[in-house]
Amino acid sequence: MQFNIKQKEFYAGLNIVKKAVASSNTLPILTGIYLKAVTGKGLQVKATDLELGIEYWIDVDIQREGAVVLPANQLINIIRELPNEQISFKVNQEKWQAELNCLSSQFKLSGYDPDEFPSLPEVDIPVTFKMPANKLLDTIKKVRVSTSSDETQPALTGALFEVKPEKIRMVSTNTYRLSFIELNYKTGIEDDIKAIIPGNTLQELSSLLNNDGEVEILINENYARFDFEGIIVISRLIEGKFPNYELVIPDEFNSDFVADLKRMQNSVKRASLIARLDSNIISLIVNEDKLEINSLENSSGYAHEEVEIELNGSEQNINIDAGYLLDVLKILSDEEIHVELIGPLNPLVIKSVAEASKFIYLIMPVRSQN
Amino acid sequence: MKQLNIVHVDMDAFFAAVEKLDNPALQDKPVIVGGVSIGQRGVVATASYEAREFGIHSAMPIAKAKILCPDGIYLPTRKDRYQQVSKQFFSILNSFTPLVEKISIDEAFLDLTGCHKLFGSSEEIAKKIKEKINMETGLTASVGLAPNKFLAKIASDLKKPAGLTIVRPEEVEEFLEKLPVGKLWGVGIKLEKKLKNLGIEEIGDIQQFSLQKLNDLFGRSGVKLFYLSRGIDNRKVNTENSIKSISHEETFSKDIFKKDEIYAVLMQLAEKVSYRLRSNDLAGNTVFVKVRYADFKTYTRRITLKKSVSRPEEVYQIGKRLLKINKLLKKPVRLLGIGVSKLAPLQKKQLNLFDKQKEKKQDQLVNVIDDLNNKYGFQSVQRARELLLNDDLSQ
Repeated sequence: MQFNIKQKEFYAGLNIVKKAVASSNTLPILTGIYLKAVTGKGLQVKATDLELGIEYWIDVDIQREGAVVLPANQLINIIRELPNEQISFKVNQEKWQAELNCLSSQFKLSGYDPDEFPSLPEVDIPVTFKMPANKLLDTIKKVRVSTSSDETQPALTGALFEVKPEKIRMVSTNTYRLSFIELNYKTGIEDDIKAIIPGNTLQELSSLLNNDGEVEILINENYARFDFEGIIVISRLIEGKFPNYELVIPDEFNSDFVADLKRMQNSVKRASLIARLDSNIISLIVNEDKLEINSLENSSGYAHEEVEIELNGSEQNINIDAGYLLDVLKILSDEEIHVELIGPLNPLVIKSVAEASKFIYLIMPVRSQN
Repeated sequence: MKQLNIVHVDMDAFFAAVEKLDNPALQDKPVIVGGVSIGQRGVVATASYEAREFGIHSAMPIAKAKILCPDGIYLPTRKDRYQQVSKQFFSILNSFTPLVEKISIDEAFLDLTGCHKLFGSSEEIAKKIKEKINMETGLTASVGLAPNKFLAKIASDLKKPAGLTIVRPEEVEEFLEKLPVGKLWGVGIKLEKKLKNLGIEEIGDIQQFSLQKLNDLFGRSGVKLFYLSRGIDNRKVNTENSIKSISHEETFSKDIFKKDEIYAVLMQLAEKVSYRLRSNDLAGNTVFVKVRYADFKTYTRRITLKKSVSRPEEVYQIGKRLLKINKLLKKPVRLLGIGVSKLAPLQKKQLNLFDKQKEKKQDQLVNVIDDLNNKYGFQSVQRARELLLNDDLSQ
């Protein structure tokens, strides 16, 4: 195995797959990155922790074919520290040892037998469709925040991905808040599919996806595969039952108001400076023409903010977690925010509806009898 | 000088007195209550006055007590029963004033400010409290009445049992003068020794020193000594809920290794923790477990949650998870404990989108169990998991 590669390109390629490198060393080979040189195709880099796998091809001229698995941390650290020059890369296929030369630097790094590296699972008999990368990225950003970190309810640590012939939905919830997004988009598939994609996979996808091009998505019973820009991401799906979210999204409300998103975000952020010293709960008092945001009574201090609004319906009063509200204010890009309220014990609903998509975000209140 | 408004009430030899109340045959006998059920490993929780004459005091190992008083009557603690009487005790105190600070199961401070129109002078109220406790519980308490907490506490301790000691504002210095320095708050064995080396034996001797001198000698504790020796203490009777954490633990008669048995005990402890949380209208964000092994090495592990917990099932499940993820059950366990901290009033509760119905049902169940337990004593109703408990493990 032998090739020459630019430091910058090598480093970029390794960075793409490193997110899938296993962090614990129950299977030491999984803490490595798989490298395979194929004449006419280039260099394949690949990593997996068996839950998530990422594969990427770097375009380089191959002098001699071969494969090796090298420890990810050391390899990435070395490549990062080398100057942006040509690196000559050679592997002693007997000892699984790589030799790197770059200007006056020389490294030898021992690795593993590539035949022992698990191949990424085949997503066979899949349902396949394509969607624009920017739409998938936007969808993921909006649902990622609401996934749960509670491992005792695995289904909630991911997002439900529902694909219909003319609609795509993604939903996530930690049971205290919920993100729902629906795109009107012709997928061309025949039967509906439902899959729960791990939160970690969404995290990696959102950092790898950019706004250009298309993503090809393949889903079967156990895996989902995302192909874009030469990158392949394969993720195991979460088994389990996702709660019936349709039942908890209210279809009616008593009051609704519109406010300037940026102003609202700034006010909530400031009120949270005090609220978070306690439980980060804020009280929202919705008046005719203004929204008052107060920190709840606590010994550390007090914060009061006012935001101009236009209210329809009765005045309202609700206590919510400031963090849940800030999360959604941060991901919205509209100029205004639209909020619907039912009462102090019912979810607060934030809606952003456009022709092509509908985003609904629910926050369950905190009950307080003080 | 301040007014004569602070009362300290302390039940006399509480656990032992309750045992005598329930079994009159024990009257006049030396009764020692403590961890009898755990063989030779327990300590004395309370000794009756008869037992104290043998030199037995609380926190002494049972084994040692048995040498001092082989003919004593040794009884296991019956926490639930004491809790019942304690409830009665506090409801009596609350009938005089809401300004009651609970210090422990059998001890409290009261602030009599504003009670005089209803119940008479402070002296009269102190007497009434003492009498009412005796009439309604059949037990005796010792009462101290003084201008502040520090003096009231010393006063109640002076004429035990069934004493009533009053320290009027004008008598404070005289009252303190002849008391040994060990009676002062914060004076432990070490400081007492230092003081004795300087020839200071009575509180009156401290009164001779200037603030500066005491500060030079003992630093900050010296400043405290200066004020306390003059009977100055400005702390308020704190009625606010000052509970920082609630926990229960149990030492086993034999170290246990079987996970099912450990979980059964854990459930029982979690129920107790949860019961106390809910009777104080509290929920907590941090759950912790404590494990001690045969070599006395003790480990505490905690987890802080986004959502506060109070239900027994929740406390138990999280405790169990803590034991599992920290691999605490790889060795036989001598002591197991579980508790909840970072407490907040139960009223502030993050509502859930999905199991509104489920939670409502669970809350109802828990309330019914609480009612039954209040009526018939703790654990008249139990979870099936607890039936796994061996008789020799449970108290």
